[in-house]
Amino acid sequence: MFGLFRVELQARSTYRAQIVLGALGWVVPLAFMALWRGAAADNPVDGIDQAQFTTYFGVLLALSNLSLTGNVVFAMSSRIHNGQLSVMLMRPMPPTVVPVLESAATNVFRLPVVIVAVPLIVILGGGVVRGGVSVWVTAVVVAVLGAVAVAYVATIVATVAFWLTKADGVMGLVVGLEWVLGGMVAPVVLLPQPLPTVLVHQPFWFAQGAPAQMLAGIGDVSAFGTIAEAAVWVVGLHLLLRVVWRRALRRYEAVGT
Amino acid sequence: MIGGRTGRVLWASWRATAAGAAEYRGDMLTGTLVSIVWLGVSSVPSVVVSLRAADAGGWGLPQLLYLLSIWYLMDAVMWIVIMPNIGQWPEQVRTGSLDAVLLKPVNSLIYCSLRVLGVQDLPKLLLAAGLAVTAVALGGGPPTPAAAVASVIAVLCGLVLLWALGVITSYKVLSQVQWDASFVLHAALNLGRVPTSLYGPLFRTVLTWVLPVAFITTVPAEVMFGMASPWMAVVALALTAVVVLIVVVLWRRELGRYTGAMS
Repeated sequence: MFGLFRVELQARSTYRAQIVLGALGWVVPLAFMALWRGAAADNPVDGIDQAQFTTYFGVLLALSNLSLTGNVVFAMSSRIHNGQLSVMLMRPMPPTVVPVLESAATNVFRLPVVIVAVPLIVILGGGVVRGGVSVWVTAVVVAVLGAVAVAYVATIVATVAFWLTKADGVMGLVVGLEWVLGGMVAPVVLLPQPLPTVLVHQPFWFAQGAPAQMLAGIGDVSAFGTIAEAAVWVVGLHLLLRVVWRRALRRYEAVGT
Repeated sequence: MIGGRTGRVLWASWRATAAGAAEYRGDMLTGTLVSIVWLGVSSVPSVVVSLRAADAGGWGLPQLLYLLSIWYLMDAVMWIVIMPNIGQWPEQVRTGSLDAVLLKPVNSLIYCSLRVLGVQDLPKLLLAAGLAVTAVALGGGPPTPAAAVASVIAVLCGLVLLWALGVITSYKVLSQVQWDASFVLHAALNLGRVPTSLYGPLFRTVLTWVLPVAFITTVPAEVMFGMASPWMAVVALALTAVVVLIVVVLWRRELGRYTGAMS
């Protein structure tokens, strides 16, 4: 697995400039940051002030830039339809890991941009990070567990391609879900009830919204409870993927070259 | 700019594209459903802002939804016109297939940038129009008929500016095959999801006079609801004319450097 990651890293080093530019081109959280800062210009929105919105969407900008979902959910269908999956099945590791490693290799080149640009945006926008080291550590752990859980969800959805010839539209909905359930369009605490109560118990929020809320000091996010819940999701989705993957492979006809 | 022959060739190309897409009607239906969901996702921030705050920098729900409808229209045009044509230039230059396109006795810029339609995304135009009508009705209509006419003119200018931005970010690929500035186009369009007046002063200036994002989405919405004078449509027309002129000059100059790669 490490060998494959190294190969992917080398392959991407050839296109590192394009990857860096791609990171600069992802600005959707900036647009929503501007909208919510505008809404909080005169008074805080449900107790959330401009500085908190800046930090919140700054963290989201970083996390969504490093999101694995897009590649994981879209990479599978073309490999099924052109037969590349056949070769991947011959390797002594699950083919489902490959798109994750590819995305991780891309993120190695995106990370420097994120590390420089995001704090700059947060500082210029007057954002403030609330909490000390423990909050940072909790936020990172929750974000990683959430990202793993979302990668599992994306892989499960990607298996739709075993049943449907054209599944890109359906798969694209996962990205749309990520926007709403992950809190990219608005912090989930601002959505109408009962959505805030429900949405804080699902992987997309753990991957993006929860760490952003923790660092921005929005709402009361329980550190231990959130980590435990995210870990349970990872285990549950892993078991579910094993079942779904076995059934999906039975549909595979190994077409292509 | 579009001569009779170019117009006829374009029309024939679009008919051929539509005929090809008719083979995948199911795909279009799925795509339309997905588009509706995405439009819903895109409108969540505007709706939630209106539920939680009086407005965002003077923009209430009708204004934000009308701006969203314009943004959605631009996004539709991005996938119907710009990506299937301009987005393919790098590949066409690499494979040499652009040579065959350039040899045709028609306006090369128009033909290269408009000849294929992303037919499966055409229903988005209706969705955008539906949202625009709803938003204007919610806002009590435009203050004067002139505001409505000016807004429509500004939207048309915005469409041309988006096309021009697409050409400007990609034309260099004719002489530098590795050129890729499409991220600027995508970033510009995504920043236009919200009124440019909500960005900081520096960003706002850049988004108005360097990348004309303000004229692509914000100005048409401001004009419709009387937040800007209808005369802004004239400014938009003048800016569009200047930008198109620049695009034509840049394209002709770049064509002179194009060496072709057909094997």
